[in-house]
Amino acid sequence: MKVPLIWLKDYLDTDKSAQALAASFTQLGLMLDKPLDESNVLDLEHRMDRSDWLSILGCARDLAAFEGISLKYPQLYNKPTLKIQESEKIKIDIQTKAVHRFQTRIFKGIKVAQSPEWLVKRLTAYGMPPINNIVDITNFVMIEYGQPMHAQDIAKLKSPDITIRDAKEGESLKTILGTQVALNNNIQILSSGGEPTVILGIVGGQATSVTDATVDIILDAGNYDSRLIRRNSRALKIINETVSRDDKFLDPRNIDFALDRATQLILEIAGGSCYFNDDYYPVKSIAKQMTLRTARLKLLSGMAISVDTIIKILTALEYKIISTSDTDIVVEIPYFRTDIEVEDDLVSDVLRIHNYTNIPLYPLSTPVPKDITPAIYKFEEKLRDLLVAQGAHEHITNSLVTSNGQSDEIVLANALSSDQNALRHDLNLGLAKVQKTYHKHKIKNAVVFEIGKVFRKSDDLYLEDRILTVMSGADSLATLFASLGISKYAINQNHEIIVADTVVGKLDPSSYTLVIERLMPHHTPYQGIVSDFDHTTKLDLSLLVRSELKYANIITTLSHLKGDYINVVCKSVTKLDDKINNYLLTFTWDSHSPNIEKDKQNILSTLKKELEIESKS
Amino acid sequence: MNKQIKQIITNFQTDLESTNDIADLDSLFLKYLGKKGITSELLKSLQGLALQDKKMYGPTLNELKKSQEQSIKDKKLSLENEENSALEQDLTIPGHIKNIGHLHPTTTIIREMNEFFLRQGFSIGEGPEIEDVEYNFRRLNLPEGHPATDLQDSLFIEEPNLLLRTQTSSVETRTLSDFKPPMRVVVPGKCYRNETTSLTNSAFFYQYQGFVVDKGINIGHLKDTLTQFHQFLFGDDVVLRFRYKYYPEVSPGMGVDMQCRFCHGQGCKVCKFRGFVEVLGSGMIHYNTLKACNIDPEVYSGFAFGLGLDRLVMSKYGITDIRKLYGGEIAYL
Repeated sequence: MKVPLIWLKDYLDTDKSAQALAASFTQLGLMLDKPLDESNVLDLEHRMDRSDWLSILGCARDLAAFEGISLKYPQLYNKPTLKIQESEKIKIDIQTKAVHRFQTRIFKGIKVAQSPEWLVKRLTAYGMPPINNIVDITNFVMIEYGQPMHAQDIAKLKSPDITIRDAKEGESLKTILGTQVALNNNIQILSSGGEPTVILGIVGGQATSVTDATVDIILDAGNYDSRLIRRNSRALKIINETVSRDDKFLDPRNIDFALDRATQLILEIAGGSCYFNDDYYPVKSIAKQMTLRTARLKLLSGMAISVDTIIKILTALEYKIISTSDTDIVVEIPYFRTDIEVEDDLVSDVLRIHNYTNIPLYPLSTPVPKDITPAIYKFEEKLRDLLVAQGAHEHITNSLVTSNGQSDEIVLANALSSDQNALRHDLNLGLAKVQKTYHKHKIKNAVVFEIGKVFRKSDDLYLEDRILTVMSGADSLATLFASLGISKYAINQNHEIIVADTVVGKLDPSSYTLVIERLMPHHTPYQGIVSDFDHTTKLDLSLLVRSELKYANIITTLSHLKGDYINVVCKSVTKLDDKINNYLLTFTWDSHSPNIEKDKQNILSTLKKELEIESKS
Repeated sequence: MNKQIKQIITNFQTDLESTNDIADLDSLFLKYLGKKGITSELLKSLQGLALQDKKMYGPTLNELKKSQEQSIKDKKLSLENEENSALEQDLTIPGHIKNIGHLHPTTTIIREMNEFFLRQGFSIGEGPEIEDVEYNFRRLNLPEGHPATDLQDSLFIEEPNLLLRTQTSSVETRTLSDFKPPMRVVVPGKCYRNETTSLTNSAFFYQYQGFVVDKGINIGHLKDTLTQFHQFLFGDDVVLRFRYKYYPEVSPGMGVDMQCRFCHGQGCKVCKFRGFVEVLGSGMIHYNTLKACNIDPEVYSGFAFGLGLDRLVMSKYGITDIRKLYGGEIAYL
């Protein structure tokens, strides 16, 4: 929200500099968003909650309360409006539930001209170019009170009616800015004589706009379903000052103040006379009451603020005090505070005007609650540490990837770009890109890894798996497993990594991937520490293996044997010729084992029988 | 034959003496003792000789072969010793760095923050990245069509109910719904928004969320926790500014700014001439949020805070493009 200093000072007397006022605004909830310059316009961040903070008067009201100074209100038209003759009345017909209130006033015999200097100055400072006195006044009052309004030239209406209805397919409207907008039956419009004249709550049409030749106007101010305005404006891609107010929660009672202010200014600046036309207002807005318990304020703030101070603050913010006691303050919520939902919002108001700087600091003193950190989080941290200890680098890559049309892929419904329109299925793609970058920069032999989620669809379920992918080979995997206390594992012919009959991951030629949830139950605290040194006996067996057989075949065959050996590793594989590979396997026994020779014979005879493997040993 | 043997002995001796490198020793081995080496060939040629000659030259040649093998072995050992003793003698030569692995900078920052909060008795919370609107918005006091939904553009999997979480606050509502107070939890995690990728914005980013629910928790506890947290991260001289700021899921809400560490509040390019840099959003957990998560707001109160991690990581490590941070374009030197 832009607040020109010159305009702000219409409502409060202060000698403070723009910088000092910006600091106060920031403290009370309207943070200075852009640096101040010589224009002395405060650009304040609006957080979508307070519709009254889209009005300069609303901003001034809170500033006055914060600074402890009084607020000067603008002059409103306070005489009764004239009654228009039935023949000159514009018939209002509301055919949609999107309208909560729609009030119209007719001005006859006005003189459209340039606006006076004070008005031009303020609008220009805000950033709105002056058009003519009538349009400028509607804009001025919108910014002053936060209530959009709209003037149409009566002479340009097709017939003496304004109908608010859903647009029809095929209808269109040329806006005041000259853009042709195609309408459809989701959009609500104002029409006259069947012709669209205004898109409800969004933008006016050129055909009925006020020009220098205009003499009689119909001025309207309405309150609409903010969700519809939000939806329609986004669909039509029209965002302007009107939309940014009409799509917030405005109270219909704001219309009375805004129209009285506009009436005062039109009569003062453009002359003519004002007539009441119509006020469609089927369900009247009523004032809400709320109780602020002083105990609640103390509980949330940790401070005892006196009832007098509370009342002073709430009154300055225009809450009406209904009753007070030491424990309860009952207030009526001002019409413009559509943001107030619960008692704690009153606490917020008191605290922010009392200034957050004054809230004392208290260390947490309650007993430490139970640790609820998931075990998997700690396990992932351990995996990171172990891989870093191996010399690997962690990377985090984009979870959003280009769709590849796989059937179990999860595709986004509203992606902004087609190269990031699906959720990743694996981590290899991202990590391969990292390696490519590394190679480009001549960083070779760097091992990279990532721990993250991958996504897939299974029937109607959207599944997230936590995985680890390391761009390295079997040695890295073996080292990792040894550190995790996983001494027995195998890689089957499909290159799946098996621990205790569970597939925990997969090995590829250039990487391996582990499913963390499946791996976690198998890890044990390091148990390799002993004070009595055991001695082992190792025996190398040299095997002549047909080339179609893999190490996995040997291990699977041996797994059915009952032997005393505690470990077997493949030391080397040498290609002897096209048909035979020589596998050198090292078996380890406890030195005390009496069955070493027996086991050896058993191993060799089984391998010969089952896989026709000869031995050189 | 005698002549040949003598010649080999002389040549071998000359070659051996002129070799001062371990790799050259291997070539020397091949030259004389390889399959087709000089000594080996001579040994093979014995087969064509008369039995008497075989008896005469056989042992000599075998002896020669053995002696040559031994000589090469000895020379190799002495060269290695020479190398080692030279290194041992000159302790001023710095060592070579072995491979060192590194954590991603975002993980490093998360760990630093976790270190503080774990010490304060916090747990770490987690939740799904594909999230229900109920946990991502509704239980955070954001009803359908609320203007504040504009503060976060969502990436939907299935409109209107299934989306990629836009904030780690969704883990807050899940934890509040699943566990009973008291609780102290921090949540580091990935979030997603429907934003065009640029130098500083990415469709996915990291947030760090924290919340406490217990009896008697007030906004002073929040101020104190955040003050200690920033002192831990930036040092005791850190200056914080606490101000009112609206967030739908808290009331009262609180914005926290840190005095610019470059200009000490005077205003400079880094702080965009504001003197302060916005660091996080926070507040007392909304009455409606506690209620929606089945916690009685009349018995328990709590605070919550959340901050974006990427900006912090980027400024700490001097990374100017978020796409590089998460695109593998970072090297660990």
